[in-house]
Amino acid sequence: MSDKRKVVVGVTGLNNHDNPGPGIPTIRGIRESDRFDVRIVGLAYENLEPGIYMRDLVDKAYLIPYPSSGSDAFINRIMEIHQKEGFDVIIPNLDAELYIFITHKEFLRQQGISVFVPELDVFEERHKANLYEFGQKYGFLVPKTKAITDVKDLAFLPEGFSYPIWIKGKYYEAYPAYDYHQAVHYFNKIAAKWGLPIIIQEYVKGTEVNAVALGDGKGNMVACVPMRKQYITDKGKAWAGIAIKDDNLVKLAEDFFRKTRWAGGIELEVIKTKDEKYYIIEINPRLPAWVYLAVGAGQNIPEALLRLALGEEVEPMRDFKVGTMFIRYSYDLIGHISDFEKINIYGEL
Amino acid sequence: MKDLAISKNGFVFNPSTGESFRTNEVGRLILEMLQEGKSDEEILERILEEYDVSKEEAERDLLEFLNMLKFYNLM
Repeated sequence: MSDKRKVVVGVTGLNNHDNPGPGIPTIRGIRESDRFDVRIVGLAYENLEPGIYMRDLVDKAYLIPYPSSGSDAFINRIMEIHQKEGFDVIIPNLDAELYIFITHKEFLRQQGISVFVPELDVFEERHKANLYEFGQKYGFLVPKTKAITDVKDLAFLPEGFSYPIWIKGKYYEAYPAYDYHQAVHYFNKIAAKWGLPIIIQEYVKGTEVNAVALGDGKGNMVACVPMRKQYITDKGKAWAGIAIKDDNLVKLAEDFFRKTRWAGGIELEVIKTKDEKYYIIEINPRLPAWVYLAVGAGQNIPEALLRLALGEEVEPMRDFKVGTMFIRYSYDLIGHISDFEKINIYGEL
Repeated sequence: MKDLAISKNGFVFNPSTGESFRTNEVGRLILEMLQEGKSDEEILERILEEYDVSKEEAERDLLEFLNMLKFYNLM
Protein backbone atom coordinates (compact mmCIF):
# COMPACT_ATOMS: atom_id res chain seq x y z
CA MET A 1 0.00 0.00 0.00
CA SER A 2 1.24 3.46 -0.85
CA ASP A 3 2.34 5.55 2.11
CA LYS A 4 1.96 8.72 0.10
CA ARG A 5 -0.26 11.35 1.64
CA LYS A 6 -3.54 11.74 -0.23
CA VAL A 7 -4.36 15.37 -1.00
CA VAL A 8 -6.89 17.17 -3.13
CA VAL A 9 -5.40 20.29 -4.67
CA GLY A 10 -7.27 22.99 -6.55
CA VAL A 11 -5.14 24.83 -9.08
CA THR A 12 -5.98 27.90 -11.16
CA GLY A 13 -4.11 29.34 -14.15
CA LEU A 14 -4.80 26.52 -16.60
CA ASN A 15 -4.46 28.94 -19.52
CA ASN A 16 -1.51 27.17 -21.03
CA HIS A 17 -1.54 29.09 -24.32
CA ASP A 18 0.87 31.59 -25.89
CA ASN A 19 0.68 33.76 -22.76
CA PRO A 20 0.68 30.89 -20.34
CA GLY A 21 -0.44 30.80 -16.73
CA PRO A 22 1.54 28.95 -14.06
CA GLY A 23 -1.10 26.28 -13.39
CA ILE A 24 0.14 23.48 -15.62
CA PRO A 25 3.85 23.73 -14.70
CA THR A 26 2.81 23.89 -11.04
CA ILE A 27 0.77 20.70 -11.48
CA ARG A 28 3.70 18.99 -13.23
CA GLY A 29 5.91 19.73 -10.23
CA ILE A 30 3.34 18.45 -7.75
CA ARG A 31 2.71 15.31 -9.82
CA GLU A 32 6.43 14.52 -9.69
CA SER A 33 6.42 14.56 -5.90
CA ASP A 34 6.98 11.20 -4.25
CA ARG A 35 5.38 12.44 -1.02
CA PHE A 36 1.85 12.95 -2.26
CA ASP A 37 -0.90 11.02 -3.94
CA VAL A 38 -2.67 14.00 -5.47
CA ARG A 39 -6.02 14.61 -7.01
CA ILE A 40 -5.75 17.75 -9.10
CA VAL A 41 -8.87 19.81 -9.50
CA GLY A 42 -8.43 22.45 -12.16
CA LEU A 43 -10.23 25.76 -11.74
CA ALA A 44 -10.66 27.55 -15.06
CA TYR A 45 -12.24 30.80 -16.20
CA GLU A 46 -12.69 30.02 -19.88
CA ASN A 47 -13.96 26.84 -21.50
CA LEU A 48 -11.00 26.63 -23.87
CA GLU A 49 -8.24 26.84 -21.27
CA PRO A 50 -6.04 23.95 -22.41
CA GLY A 51 -5.50 22.59 -18.88
CA ILE A 52 -9.16 21.54 -18.74
CA TYR A 53 -8.46 18.97 -21.44
CA MET A 54 -5.11 17.70 -20.12
CA ARG A 55 -6.52 14.56 -18.54
CA ASP A 56 -3.11 13.15 -17.63
CA LEU A 57 -2.43 16.20 -15.44
CA VAL A 58 -5.86 17.44 -14.36
CA ASP A 59 -8.23 14.87 -12.81
CA LYS A 60 -11.29 17.09 -12.90
CA ALA A 61 -11.89 20.64 -14.07
CA TYR A 62 -14.50 23.22 -13.13
CA LEU A 63 -15.35 26.62 -14.46
CA ILE A 64 -15.29 29.44 -11.93
CA PRO A 65 -16.46 33.04 -12.35
CA TYR A 66 -13.94 35.82 -12.92
CA PRO A 67 -12.91 37.64 -9.73
CA SER A 68 -14.39 40.80 -11.28
CA SER A 69 -17.86 39.27 -10.87
CA GLY A 70 -17.49 39.84 -7.12
CA SER A 71 -16.04 37.94 -4.20
CA ASP A 72 -19.40 36.43 -3.16
CA ALA A 73 -19.99 34.78 -6.53
CA PHE A 74 -16.36 33.64 -6.60
CA ILE A 75 -16.26 32.16 -3.11
CA ASN A 76 -19.72 30.60 -3.43
CA ARG A 77 -18.58 28.72 -6.53
CA ILE A 78 -15.39 27.57 -4.76
CA MET A 79 -17.52 26.28 -1.85
CA GLU A 80 -19.88 24.52 -4.26
CA ILE A 81 -16.91 22.68 -5.78
CA HIS A 82 -15.47 22.05 -2.30
CA GLN A 83 -18.67 20.17 -1.36
CA LYS A 84 -17.99 17.71 -4.18
CA GLU A 85 -14.20 17.53 -4.11
CA GLY A 86 -13.10 18.26 -0.55
CA PHE A 87 -10.13 20.51 -1.24
CA ASP A 88 -7.17 20.30 1.12
CA VAL A 89 -5.33 23.12 -0.62
CA ILE A 90 -5.98 25.65 -3.36
CA ILE A 91 -3.01 27.13 -5.19
CA PRO A 92 -4.00 30.43 -6.84
CA ASN A 93 -1.87 31.28 -9.83
CA LEU A 94 -3.25 34.51 -11.24
CA ASP A 95 -2.61 38.02 -9.94
CA ALA A 96 -6.23 39.15 -10.32
CA GLU A 97 -7.69 36.43 -8.07
CA LEU A 98 -5.16 36.76 -5.25
CA TYR A 99 -6.94 39.59 -3.46
CA ILE A 100 -10.02 37.40 -2.91
CA PHE A 101 -7.97 34.44 -1.73
CA ILE A 102 -6.00 36.63 0.68
CA THR A 103 -9.07 38.33 2.14
CA HIS A 104 -10.91 34.97 2.46
CA LYS A 105 -7.94 32.95 3.68
CA GLU A 106 -9.34 32.58 7.18
CA PHE A 107 -12.83 31.71 5.95
CA LEU A 108 -11.41 29.06 3.64
CA ARG A 109 -9.27 27.67 6.46
CA GLN A 110 -12.39 27.27 8.58
CA GLN A 111 -13.88 25.24 5.71
CA GLY A 112 -10.80 23.01 5.66
CA ILE A 113 -9.05 24.62 2.70
CA SER A 114 -5.48 25.88 3.07
CA VAL A 115 -4.31 28.71 0.85
CA PHE A 116 -0.67 29.72 1.23
CA VAL A 117 -0.69 33.41 0.36
CA PRO A 118 0.95 36.57 1.73
CA GLU A 119 -0.59 39.10 4.11
CA LEU A 120 -2.74 41.76 2.44
CA ASP A 121 -0.55 44.75 3.41
CA VAL A 122 2.65 43.43 1.83
CA PHE A 123 0.69 42.11 -1.16
CA GLU A 124 -0.59 45.65 -1.79
CA GLU A 125 2.74 47.31 -1.04
CA ARG A 126 4.58 45.45 -3.80
CA HIS A 127 1.90 46.28 -6.36
CA LYS A 128 3.30 47.80 -9.55
CA ALA A 129 1.78 51.18 -8.78
CA ASN A 130 3.36 51.24 -5.30
CA LEU A 131 6.66 49.59 -6.15
CA TYR A 132 8.83 52.70 -5.81
CA GLU A 133 7.53 53.38 -2.29
CA PHE A 134 7.94 49.68 -1.52
CA GLY A 135 11.61 49.93 -2.50
CA GLN A 136 12.12 52.98 -0.32
CA LYS A 137 10.44 51.35 2.66
CA TYR A 138 12.37 48.07 2.50
CA GLY A 139 15.65 49.35 1.10
CA PHE A 140 15.57 47.97 -2.46
CA LEU A 141 16.55 49.77 -5.64
CA VAL A 142 13.45 50.37 -7.77
CA PRO A 143 13.18 52.58 -10.88
CA LYS A 144 10.96 55.62 -10.38
CA THR A 145 7.38 54.46 -10.81
CA LYS A 146 4.12 56.39 -10.92
CA ALA A 147 0.50 55.46 -11.56
CA ILE A 148 -1.41 57.78 -13.89
CA THR A 149 -5.08 57.79 -14.84
CA ASP A 150 -5.20 60.41 -17.58
CA VAL A 151 -3.42 60.29 -20.92
CA LYS A 152 -2.85 64.06 -20.55
CA ASP A 153 -0.38 63.28 -17.76
CA LEU A 154 2.00 62.05 -20.46
CA ALA A 155 2.28 65.51 -22.00
CA PHE A 156 4.21 66.78 -19.01
CA LEU A 157 6.03 63.88 -17.41
CA PRO A 158 6.27 63.99 -13.62
CA GLU A 159 9.50 65.25 -12.12
CA GLY A 160 12.38 62.82 -12.44
CA PHE A 161 11.02 61.12 -15.59
CA SER A 162 12.35 61.50 -19.12
CA TYR A 163 11.98 59.37 -22.24
CA PRO A 164 12.36 56.49 -22.74
CA ILE A 165 9.89 55.21 -20.13
CA TRP A 166 8.01 51.99 -19.61
CA ILE A 167 4.24 52.04 -19.99
CA LYS A 168 2.72 49.20 -17.97
CA GLY A 169 -0.71 47.74 -17.33
CA LYS A 170 -2.08 47.28 -13.83
CA TYR A 171 -1.61 43.52 -14.03
CA TYR A 172 -0.19 42.67 -17.43
CA GLU A 173 1.69 44.04 -20.45
CA ALA A 174 4.49 46.55 -20.69
CA TYR A 175 6.02 48.51 -23.56
CA PRO A 176 9.00 50.87 -23.76
CA ALA A 177 8.00 54.28 -25.14
CA TYR A 178 10.72 56.44 -26.63
CA ASP A 179 8.61 59.57 -27.12
CA TYR A 180 5.29 61.17 -26.22
CA HIS A 181 3.42 59.74 -29.23
CA GLN A 182 4.48 56.18 -28.48
CA ALA A 183 3.58 56.68 -24.84
CA VAL A 184 0.06 57.82 -25.74
CA HIS A 185 -0.36 54.88 -28.14
CA TYR A 186 0.64 52.32 -25.47
CA PHE A 187 -1.38 54.10 -22.77
CA ASN A 188 -4.54 53.74 -24.86
CA LYS A 189 -3.73 50.19 -25.94
CA ILE A 190 -3.18 48.93 -22.38
CA ALA A 191 -5.99 50.99 -20.83
CA ALA A 192 -8.49 49.55 -23.33
CA LYS A 193 -7.50 46.03 -22.34
CA TRP A 194 -6.71 46.17 -18.64
CA GLY A 195 -8.22 49.43 -17.44
CA LEU A 196 -6.68 52.18 -15.33
CA PRO A 197 -4.38 53.17 -13.78
CA ILE A 198 -1.46 52.91 -16.15
CA ILE A 199 1.95 52.72 -14.57
CA ILE A 200 4.87 54.66 -15.95
CA GLN A 201 8.32 53.53 -14.95
CA GLU A 202 11.81 54.96 -15.42
CA TYR A 203 13.80 53.01 -18.01
CA VAL A 204 16.89 51.55 -16.37
CA LYS A 205 19.50 50.29 -18.81
CA GLY A 206 20.88 46.84 -18.16
CA THR A 207 20.21 43.15 -18.46
CA GLU A 208 16.95 41.66 -17.26
CA VAL A 209 17.31 38.73 -14.90
CA ASN A 210 14.49 36.97 -13.11
CA ALA A 211 14.12 34.67 -10.15
CA VAL A 212 11.42 32.30 -8.99
CA ALA A 213 11.44 32.02 -5.22
CA LEU A 214 9.37 30.76 -2.32
CA GLY A 215 8.99 32.18 1.19
CA ASP A 216 7.68 30.39 4.27
CA GLY A 217 5.87 33.41 5.73
CA LYS A 218 8.22 33.53 8.71
CA GLY A 219 10.97 35.45 6.97
CA ASN A 220 12.80 32.48 5.48
CA MET A 221 13.46 31.74 1.84
CA VAL A 222 12.74 28.12 1.01
CA ALA A 223 13.82 28.07 -2.63
CA CYS A 224 15.22 30.33 -5.34
CA VAL A 225 16.34 29.80 -8.93
CA PRO A 226 17.58 32.75 -11.02
CA MET A 227 16.87 32.69 -14.75
CA ARG A 228 17.85 34.65 -17.82
CA LYS A 229 15.43 34.74 -20.73
CA GLN A 230 16.95 33.47 -23.95
CA TYR A 231 14.02 33.95 -26.26
CA ILE A 232 11.14 36.35 -25.76
CA THR A 233 7.80 36.33 -27.57
CA ASP A 234 6.14 39.45 -28.95
CA LYS A 235 4.10 39.46 -25.73
CA GLY A 236 7.34 39.74 -23.77
CA LYS A 237 7.05 36.21 -22.40
CA ALA A 238 10.02 33.90 -22.00
CA TRP A 239 9.87 31.14 -24.60
CA ALA A 240 13.28 29.78 -23.59
CA GLY A 241 15.40 30.47 -20.56
CA ILE A 242 18.38 29.21 -18.61
CA ALA A 243 19.13 28.81 -14.91
CA ILE A 244 22.04 31.07 -14.05
CA LYS A 245 24.39 31.48 -11.13
CA ASP A 246 23.65 34.87 -9.66
CA ASP A 247 24.39 34.95 -5.95
CA ASN A 248 23.48 38.64 -5.69
CA LEU A 249 20.01 37.98 -7.02
CA VAL A 250 19.53 35.05 -4.63
CA LYS A 251 20.59 37.32 -1.79
CA LEU A 252 18.16 39.99 -2.96
CA ALA A 253 15.32 37.43 -2.90
CA GLU A 254 16.42 36.28 0.54
CA ASP A 255 16.34 39.91 1.76
CA PHE A 256 12.86 40.32 0.31
CA PHE A 257 11.51 37.37 2.32
CA ARG A 258 13.36 38.38 5.49
CA LYS A 259 12.01 41.91 5.35
CA THR A 260 8.45 41.20 4.22
CA ARG A 261 7.80 37.72 5.70
CA TRP A 262 6.10 36.88 2.43
CA ALA A 263 4.21 33.57 2.32
CA GLY A 264 4.15 31.85 -1.05
CA GLY A 265 5.79 32.08 -4.42
CA ILE A 266 7.07 35.14 -6.24
CA GLU A 267 8.69 36.03 -9.51
CA LEU A 268 11.27 38.77 -9.12
CA GLU A 269 11.97 40.76 -12.27
CA VAL A 270 15.18 42.69 -11.98
CA ILE A 271 17.43 44.85 -14.15
CA LYS A 272 21.10 44.28 -13.49
CA THR A 273 23.12 47.33 -14.53
CA LYS A 274 26.69 47.32 -15.83
CA ASP A 275 27.95 48.42 -12.43
CA GLU A 276 26.22 45.41 -10.80
CA LYS A 277 23.29 47.24 -9.28
CA TYR A 278 20.00 45.32 -9.09
CA TYR A 279 16.81 47.30 -9.76
CA ILE A 280 13.55 45.51 -9.02
CA ILE A 281 11.14 46.28 -11.86
CA GLU A 282 8.35 43.95 -10.80
CA ILE A 283 7.43 41.53 -8.05
CA ASN A 284 4.82 39.12 -9.33
CA PRO A 285 2.93 37.72 -6.35
CA ARG A 286 2.79 34.08 -7.45
CA LEU A 287 4.86 31.45 -9.19
CA PRO A 288 5.71 32.26 -12.82
CA ALA A 289 4.74 30.15 -15.84
CA TRP A 290 8.39 29.07 -16.12
CA VAL A 291 8.46 27.56 -12.61
CA TYR A 292 9.02 24.09 -14.06
CA LEU A 293 12.59 25.19 -14.90
CA ALA A 294 13.22 25.24 -11.14
CA VAL A 295 11.85 21.70 -10.86
CA GLY A 296 14.13 20.61 -13.70
CA ALA A 297 17.09 22.33 -12.06
CA GLY A 298 16.55 20.47 -8.80
CA GLN A 299 14.20 22.61 -6.72
CA ASN A 300 10.63 21.34 -6.78
CA ILE A 301 9.07 24.65 -5.75
CA PRO A 302 5.43 23.63 -6.42
CA GLU A 303 5.85 20.61 -4.14
CA ALA A 304 7.45 22.80 -1.46
CA LEU A 305 4.59 25.28 -1.77
CA LEU A 306 2.07 22.47 -1.30
CA ARG A 307 3.95 21.22 1.76
CA LEU A 308 3.97 24.70 3.29
CA ALA A 309 0.24 25.04 2.60
CA LEU A 310 -0.30 21.75 4.44
CA GLY A 311 1.57 23.14 7.44
CA GLU A 312 4.74 21.08 6.95
CA GLU A 313 8.21 22.38 7.73
CA VAL A 314 10.28 22.60 4.56
CA GLU A 315 14.06 22.63 4.65
CA PRO A 316 15.45 25.47 2.50
CA MET A 317 16.76 24.32 -0.87
CA ARG A 318 20.01 25.95 -1.90
CA ASP A 319 21.43 23.88 -4.75
CA PHE A 320 20.29 23.81 -8.32
CA LYS A 321 21.89 22.89 -11.59
CA VAL A 322 23.18 26.02 -13.33
CA GLY A 323 22.77 25.76 -17.11
CA THR A 324 19.44 23.92 -16.95
CA MET A 325 17.29 25.26 -19.77
CA PHE A 326 13.65 25.31 -20.70
CA ILE A 327 12.33 25.58 -24.21
CA ARG A 328 8.61 26.12 -24.43
CA TYR A 329 6.64 24.59 -27.28
CA SER A 330 3.10 24.46 -28.55
CA TYR A 331 1.21 21.23 -28.90
CA ASP A 332 -2.15 20.37 -30.40
CA LEU A 333 -4.34 18.58 -27.87
CA ILE A 334 -7.06 16.51 -29.42
CA GLY A 335 -10.43 16.77 -27.74
CA HIS A 336 -14.02 16.11 -28.68
CA ILE A 337 -17.06 18.34 -28.88
CA SER A 338 -18.70 16.22 -26.15
CA ASP A 339 -16.04 17.41 -23.66
CA PHE A 340 -16.51 21.00 -24.75
CA GLU A 341 -20.27 20.49 -24.34
CA LYS A 342 -19.84 19.24 -20.75
CA ILE A 343 -17.67 22.15 -19.64
CA ASN A 344 -20.04 24.58 -21.37
CA ILE A 345 -23.32 23.20 -20.07
CA TYR A 346 -22.37 21.77 -16.67
CA GLY A 347 -19.30 23.88 -15.92
CA GLU A 348 -17.23 20.78 -15.20
CA LEU A 349 -15.34 18.04 -16.95
CA MET B 1 36.26 34.67 -15.95
CA LYS B 2 36.95 31.94 -13.39
CA ASP B 3 33.37 30.69 -13.60
CA LEU B 4 33.37 30.26 -17.38
CA ALA B 5 32.70 26.69 -18.47
CA ILE B 6 34.90 25.91 -21.47
CA SER B 7 34.31 22.69 -23.38
CA LYS B 8 36.97 20.91 -25.39
CA ASN B 9 35.01 21.67 -28.56
CA GLY B 10 35.25 25.42 -27.94
CA PHE B 11 31.74 25.96 -26.52
CA VAL B 12 31.93 28.58 -23.76
CA PHE B 13 29.16 29.06 -21.18
CA ASN B 14 28.99 32.01 -18.80
CA PRO B 15 26.94 30.69 -15.84
CA SER B 16 26.36 34.12 -14.33
CA THR B 17 24.66 35.55 -17.42
CA GLY B 18 23.43 32.43 -19.21
CA GLU B 19 25.22 33.50 -22.39
CA SER B 20 27.13 31.04 -24.53
CA PHE B 21 29.76 31.50 -27.22
CA ARG B 22 31.74 29.45 -29.68
CA THR B 23 35.44 29.89 -30.16
CA ASN B 24 38.22 28.18 -32.08
CA GLU B 25 41.22 26.26 -30.76
CA VAL B 26 43.34 29.36 -30.17
CA GLY B 27 40.49 31.16 -28.44
CA ARG B 28 40.01 28.19 -26.15
CA LEU B 29 43.74 28.15 -25.34
CA ILE B 30 43.65 31.86 -24.48
CA LEU B 31 40.57 31.47 -22.26
CA GLU B 32 42.05 28.52 -20.42
CA MET B 33 45.30 30.37 -19.81
CA LEU B 34 43.41 33.45 -18.57
CA GLN B 35 41.54 31.19 -16.14
CA GLU B 36 44.89 29.90 -14.90
CA GLY B 37 45.88 33.50 -14.21
CA LYS B 38 48.54 33.69 -16.93
CA SER B 39 49.70 37.09 -18.17
CA ASP B 40 49.25 38.39 -21.74
CA GLU B 41 52.98 37.84 -22.34
CA GLU B 42 52.80 34.22 -21.24
CA ILE B 43 49.82 33.62 -23.51
CA LEU B 44 51.61 35.26 -26.45
CA GLU B 45 54.69 33.12 -25.84
CA ARG B 46 52.59 29.95 -25.82
CA ILE B 47 50.83 30.89 -29.05
CA LEU B 48 54.17 31.51 -30.74
CA GLU B 49 55.40 28.12 -29.51
CA GLU B 50 52.40 26.20 -30.74
CA TYR B 51 51.44 27.97 -33.96
CA ASP B 52 53.30 29.03 -37.05
CA VAL B 53 52.58 32.73 -36.83
CA SER B 54 54.61 35.95 -36.72
CA LYS B 55 54.89 37.80 -33.42
CA GLU B 56 53.16 40.89 -34.88
CA GLU B 57 50.20 38.91 -36.13
CA ALA B 58 49.84 36.95 -32.89
CA GLU B 59 50.04 40.14 -30.81
CA ARG B 60 47.40 41.85 -32.93
CA ASP B 61 45.02 38.86 -32.82
CA LEU B 62 45.50 38.39 -29.08
CA LEU B 63 44.74 42.04 -28.41
CA GLU B 64 41.65 41.87 -30.59
CA PHE B 65 40.43 38.75 -28.79
CA LEU B 66 41.04 40.30 -25.35
CA ASN B 67 39.12 43.41 -26.38
CA MET B 68 36.25 41.24 -27.52
CA LEU B 69 36.21 39.47 -24.15
CA LYS B 70 36.04 42.86 -22.44
CA PHE B 71 33.22 43.95 -24.73
CA TYR B 72 31.19 40.89 -23.70
CA ASN B 73 32.03 41.45 -20.01
CA LEU B 74 33.92 38.19 -19.86
CA MET B 75 36.97 39.74 -18.20
